[in-house]
Amino acid sequence: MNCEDCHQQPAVTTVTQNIDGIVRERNLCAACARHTAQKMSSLIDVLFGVEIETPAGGKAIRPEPECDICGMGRGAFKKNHRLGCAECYSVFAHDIAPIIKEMQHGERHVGKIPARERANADRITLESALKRAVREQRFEEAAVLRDRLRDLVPEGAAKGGGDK
Amino acid sequence: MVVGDLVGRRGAWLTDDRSRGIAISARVRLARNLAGESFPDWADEAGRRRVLRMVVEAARASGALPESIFISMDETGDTDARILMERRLISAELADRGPGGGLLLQPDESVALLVNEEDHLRIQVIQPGMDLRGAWERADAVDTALEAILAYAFSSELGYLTACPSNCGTGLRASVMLHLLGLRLTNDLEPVLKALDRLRLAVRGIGGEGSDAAGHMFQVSNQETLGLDEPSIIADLSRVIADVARQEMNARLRIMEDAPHLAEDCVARALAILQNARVLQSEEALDYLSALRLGVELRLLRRLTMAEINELLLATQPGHLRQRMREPLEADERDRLRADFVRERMAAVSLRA
Repeated sequence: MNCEDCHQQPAVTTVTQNIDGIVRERNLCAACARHTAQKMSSLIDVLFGVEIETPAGGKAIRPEPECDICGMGRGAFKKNHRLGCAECYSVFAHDIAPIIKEMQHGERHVGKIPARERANADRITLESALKRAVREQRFEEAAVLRDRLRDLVPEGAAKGGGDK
Repeated sequence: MVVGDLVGRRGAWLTDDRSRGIAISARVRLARNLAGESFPDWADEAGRRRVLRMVVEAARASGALPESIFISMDETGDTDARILMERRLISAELADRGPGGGLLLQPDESVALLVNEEDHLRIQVIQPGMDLRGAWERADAVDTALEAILAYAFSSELGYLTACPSNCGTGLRASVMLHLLGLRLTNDLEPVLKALDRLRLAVRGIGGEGSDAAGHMFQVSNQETLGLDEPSIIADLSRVIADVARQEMNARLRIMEDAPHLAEDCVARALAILQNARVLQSEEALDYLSALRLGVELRLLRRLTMAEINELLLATQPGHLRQRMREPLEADERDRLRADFVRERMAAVSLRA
């Protein structure tokens, strides 16, 4: 099928447009789809809010992925590559992964860990080891693990509470 | 203390003898964000103010910056913001932040906390010379003291979570300012800069991001912050910096052996202009002062010290000049006053025979 706009190039996408309340689906080539998108009121909405899919893939309109915590949408992130909050790292993980691959030395953190994070990680490890030891009736080991757990700083608080 | 009081001083990166020579200053910056708060660009004013309050309280309570002064970007005028930028203490982004933007500064300017710039918190240490390890250790200590009070946004996979993924992981950006006029004179500068680029290091001019290399001073920094630990980042960069400094030293030695007239010409022209100019733009001043810097190191000049040049490097910048004159100046008027000021300082200087 040729593009319904230029009638020159093969149609590769279906664009759903709402014009004065009438929903129309049009099969367009890539250039015309882009052009149509640019004519629509909000470029950002179109590029990142409306999913343009191939005819074979159905014609679903999906809402823009948005961070529940800070409300940043993908469009805003794509615009300047800055995230809205820490949670955005999960929400936009698929967009961030290639950036990290391109710019960074590796894909995992191997540096400094804040004391309270270290303590939390230790707590999780110790708690599961303790459960296992109790389940397997290794009580001597369990007692040691319980003592070590008790020595950890309280959850959420940091070691020392104020290094000078 | 107010920002204007800084003007008469030499700046953290120009304070002592270690700032002579090829490596002018070393800087380490750690990017941190507070858990549960939107990053500054996306946060509303109330959120930014809340973060500012938390950071300032934590800094006071931790004792990490015992004598720090607080400067609110909200109440900082154009000239003061400009002075802070010229002293390399803040970026244009922080200067423009308005409410919630703040700077906590040790009086010697060596340690600073930048609040609500691109990230909630940037811990910055500036030292003369090229001691990146020393700068990192100081920044690390401040960070450790603060993290006892502040809960940072952190993930075990991606480390410290920053507004821009290019800073995540360690959040560590280290840089050294290098004076590379010798390599320029021997036409070897381009290959060195290209090699740095191949090593994935960033090279910027003296003004930081977006500035060109006025005065042949280049800031070389790491770009990769994730997948390497802090000591490796510091060690790798230090090794490269030492290499570049060696290349610059060799270039200077080669010039003095093979073609001393080239260096003499460069220094003599710079001195002639600074002693005679009636109109002098700040970039121009930087370029010629850079040549005199080389002249002092190669012992081509009399009655001029490195400390005096370092002072002029700052004093001739627009914000510092405006503050010294204590009145708002138009650019052309400023160029005239700058020329007068430098001419007066250069009057007694002469070339060694």
